[in-house]
Amino acid sequence: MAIQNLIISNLLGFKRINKVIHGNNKKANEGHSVFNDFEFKFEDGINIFIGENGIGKTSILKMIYAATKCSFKKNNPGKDIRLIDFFSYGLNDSDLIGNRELEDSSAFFYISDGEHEFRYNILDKGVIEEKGWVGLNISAIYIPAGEMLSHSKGFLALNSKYKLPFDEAQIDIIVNASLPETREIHPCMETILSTISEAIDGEVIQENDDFYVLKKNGKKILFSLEAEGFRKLGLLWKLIRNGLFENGSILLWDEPESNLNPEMFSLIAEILLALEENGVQIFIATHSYNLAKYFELRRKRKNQVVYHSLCRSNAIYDFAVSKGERNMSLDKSFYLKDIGNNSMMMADEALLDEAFDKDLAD
Amino acid sequence: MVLKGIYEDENHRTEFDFSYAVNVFEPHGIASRHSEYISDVDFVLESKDEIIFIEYKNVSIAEAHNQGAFIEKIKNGNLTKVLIKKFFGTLLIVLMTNRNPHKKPIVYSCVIEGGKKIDGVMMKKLRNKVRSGLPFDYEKIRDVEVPIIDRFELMSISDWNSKYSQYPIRMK
Repeated sequence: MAIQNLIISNLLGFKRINKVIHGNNKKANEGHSVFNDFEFKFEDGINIFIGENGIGKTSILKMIYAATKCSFKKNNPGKDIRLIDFFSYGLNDSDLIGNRELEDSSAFFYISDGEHEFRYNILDKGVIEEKGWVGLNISAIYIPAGEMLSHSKGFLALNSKYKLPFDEAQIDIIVNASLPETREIHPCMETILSTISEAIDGEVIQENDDFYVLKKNGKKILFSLEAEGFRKLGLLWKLIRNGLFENGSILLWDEPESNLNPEMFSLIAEILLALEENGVQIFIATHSYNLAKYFELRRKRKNQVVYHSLCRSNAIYDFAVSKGERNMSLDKSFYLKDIGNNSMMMADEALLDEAFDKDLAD
Repeated sequence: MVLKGIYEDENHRTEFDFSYAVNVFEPHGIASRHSEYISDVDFVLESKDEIIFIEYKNVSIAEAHNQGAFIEKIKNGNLTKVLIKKFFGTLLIVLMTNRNPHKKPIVYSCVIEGGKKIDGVMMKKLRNKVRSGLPFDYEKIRDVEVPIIDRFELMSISDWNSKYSQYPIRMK
């Protein structure tokens, strides 16, 4: 099982564009309207989202994650599980993430594995349509950009009683990390675990709701006292040790680079490439050129790595949702070099240009 | 038959149309005598206003393993050293042969197609490293009376063709 398609329509920043297509006669009143939705075609391997802040990378990860949660019958999608809770804490009104500005007022995201389909219509209380999706039981892990395990003490007990100011994805990561470890470890995962263990100089344990890194010298470091970069790697270690990355599962990781020393980026790329080789479909959102580049450089023939670039289009549409508003354009490429209008690389290049110009001036 | 002012790379895959240049000189004949010690660029082109040292490298048409080797050369700094040495060697040859009697400013231009994996950021990192090893400060030395280097640029074929459209480089 792998997610193959995502279509987003008129949701958050992904506003539908009402383009007027003209025939040979270019008089404006003789055109007809075509609505453009945003369609992503994913690879079975590693899908990397790049794009400036606020463009919707995290939302895409959350849409995929929310859809996977709805693949479990026990979650009673649409009733026990409210999809808007995955986007932000305390959203009571779906209209906050959908856009009502267009005449047809539809706003949805659609996800498919090529065979089964899931569609969530955001507006009007949220209606779920699906074709064979519920019952697929897609195992997915979402790692948020902010570290959560430091808050684990009593968290789950509190969460079951009170409404805590965290979205579902943030809560789930504590749930997943708190699961018991598997009796046996798959041999290929053993290698990955020992690689991470080497980097954090130990293993992750949980005692009385608290997570610790048990160092090789026997010292226990409380998660909140551990360096945040190590916490990030430690979380990954624990999730793997809990047997959550089986063949056919999905990992969604928002900004793996946050709080991580850049010298760790190659390690992260190696770990994720190894997971991908073992049948895990991976989606990451990143702002780091270095991290993104490591995937390009370290991938082997058998690895599938693709970049999905989201950027604000230079075209200003007369017939966009709000007149004069800049909309988004999508680009997909197997090489960073081939992505046009790549804000992440442009920032690095601007710095290098400044260094070059400054050097000349000195 | 190759027309006057039209040059080819050694693999006959690229054509350099320098027919509008004031003069073009291939320094390799001289450098080959001491190739162990002197490196040189592919062409020295004299335009109306400048002397341009042109070094051309195209890895995108090479085998995949060569592209890997090229990345390794960038990583270990060998390519930086090679490009800097080529400048110094060519400068020596130009001075020895009095190819710049009118003391035109010298521009060093590396035209590199590095393949799919060499993106804009990597090109600019390489550019900055090479630039830091070039003798931009020599002309400040009191006894130096000839132009040494005025400008360094590292670019793709497409950038070259935009900037120097009168001297186009074409893939055959």
